[in-house]
Amino acid sequence: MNGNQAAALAVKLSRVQVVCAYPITPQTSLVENIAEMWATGTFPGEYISVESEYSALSYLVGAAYAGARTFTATSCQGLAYMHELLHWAGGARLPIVMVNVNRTLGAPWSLEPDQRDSLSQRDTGWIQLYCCDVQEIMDTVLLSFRLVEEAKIPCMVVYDGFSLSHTYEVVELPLQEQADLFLSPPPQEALFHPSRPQTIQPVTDYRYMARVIQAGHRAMLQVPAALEEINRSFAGIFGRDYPLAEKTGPENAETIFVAAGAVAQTVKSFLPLLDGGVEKNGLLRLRLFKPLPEEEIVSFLSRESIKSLVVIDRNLSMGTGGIFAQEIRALLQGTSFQGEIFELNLAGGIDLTLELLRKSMEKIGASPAGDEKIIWGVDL
Amino acid sequence: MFSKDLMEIRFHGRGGQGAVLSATLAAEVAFRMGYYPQAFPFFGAERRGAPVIAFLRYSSFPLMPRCRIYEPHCVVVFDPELPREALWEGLKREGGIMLVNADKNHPYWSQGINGGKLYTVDASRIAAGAGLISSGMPLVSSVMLGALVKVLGLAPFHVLEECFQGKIPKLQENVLVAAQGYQDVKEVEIEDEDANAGQ
Repeated sequence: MNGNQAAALAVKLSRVQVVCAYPITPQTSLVENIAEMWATGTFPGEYISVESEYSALSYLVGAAYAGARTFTATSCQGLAYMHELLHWAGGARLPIVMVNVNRTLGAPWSLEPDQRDSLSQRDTGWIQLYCCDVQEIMDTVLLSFRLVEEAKIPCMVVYDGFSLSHTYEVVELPLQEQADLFLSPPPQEALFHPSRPQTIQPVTDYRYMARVIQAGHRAMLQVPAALEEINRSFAGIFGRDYPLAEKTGPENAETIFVAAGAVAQTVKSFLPLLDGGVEKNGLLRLRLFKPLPEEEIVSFLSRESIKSLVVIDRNLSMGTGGIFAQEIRALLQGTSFQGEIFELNLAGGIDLTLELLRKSMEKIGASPAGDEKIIWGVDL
Repeated sequence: MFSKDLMEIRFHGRGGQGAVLSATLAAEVAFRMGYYPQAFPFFGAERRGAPVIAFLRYSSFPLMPRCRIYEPHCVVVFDPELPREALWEGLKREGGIMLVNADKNHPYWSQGINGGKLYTVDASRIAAGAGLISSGMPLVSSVMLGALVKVLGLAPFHVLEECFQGKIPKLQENVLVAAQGYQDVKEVEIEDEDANAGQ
């Protein structure tokens, strides 16, 4: 099955009560799959069609306030259109799970898997998890429901358009009994009812608001530990063990690539073919991006042997550089990390091939310190 | 590129011809033969008749890259009238396989391929003969799949037949034409090594 089918099946296995979504390429087949399961009676939850992404998330904000287990999915302009509601769901700490299938934000129009859509929502108070294969998409959607309900923070499960959403590969299907063992049943009573009118989240003053924001931050900081515990429980039931961040390579690696999503798996498959092979090269795959698991990343990257980091961003903050690179720089500030940080930029959804990766390594070898640190994929 | 048992295949068709479905069905055949497959489409304009490309990788190890395929071992052409340069692009010279839906006397395809092998099967005629036509277009995908499984030596025919179950309408007709593709596909004698303009 492909990534979108896997996500749809995970929604069914999670006994989601309300799905509300608006179709957009390359997410379309995900919602089509849920709609079809709903139409044929195999998905017992509600599937609500609306006229826009804005309405889709608005609907779920209401459903989540009422206590329902909720899901939506979108991509690129659709996610951007949800922006205001993303803040609302984040601020209200609503346990909503969303899939965002990465696609380049226009203008101009494009279908390639650039990550600026999800990364431009970094500060909306949502957890973000990036997947690198179809199995991981299925498993991550499933475990996100437990994460959002425990952390009371909404979660965005992110994967690349086409190179994951439309890629068919072999997937181990979880059983409904396993899913039921892993996830508690969804609530059966609505938290509010027309017969008991109440006001929620009225106008506040800055002191109260500041406390809400501070509490959100502190809750976010608890996410790595909570997710680690959930990963352990998931592994116990399903036999698949997911890290907060995937770390590959030898103890004395000299070059570490940092990447998220499909690109990370491509790099992993190429490591043996690069100069120095698996003896000198390693990979840090960012899985939990928001919040980054700081301790884990810093202890992996600040080893003495590491001479260079190559952060691969299929995204860009214009005028600054790759967004993952910014985050990694911030984390390594004040640590014992002695190496240089290079950026390989694939903004616009550039396809990472072995040739391109080799050329970027040559650039790194040739560049004296102090030069522009962005290696543009489009120039190679 | 990575190991001698990594196979990379590119499918060229037109929207509505079933190139994407074929790639996923071939992936399932590969899975049943013990490989890890990965099949994915590349859509430009998603409409009937527009050129469509699909990719298939399979290997005996699960870790594979997720980029598109630029140097395929095998190219499968559903419509011989597609722009030719794109079809030949990157095809491996050593042992490359070009499988084309064409009459073996099709002048366009009789020139051969440098260092590789050219196979043809008259899929349009076989499909039309079995009444597999939609909007005037022969549904060639099953014939091409039968031929592909044969030229790759990927699986005995019954494995493909099993993969059709529950996924293909008009099952009987499709199994029949796939079997015909499996039987009829022929290597074309290379007449002129240098005349292949696409290389």
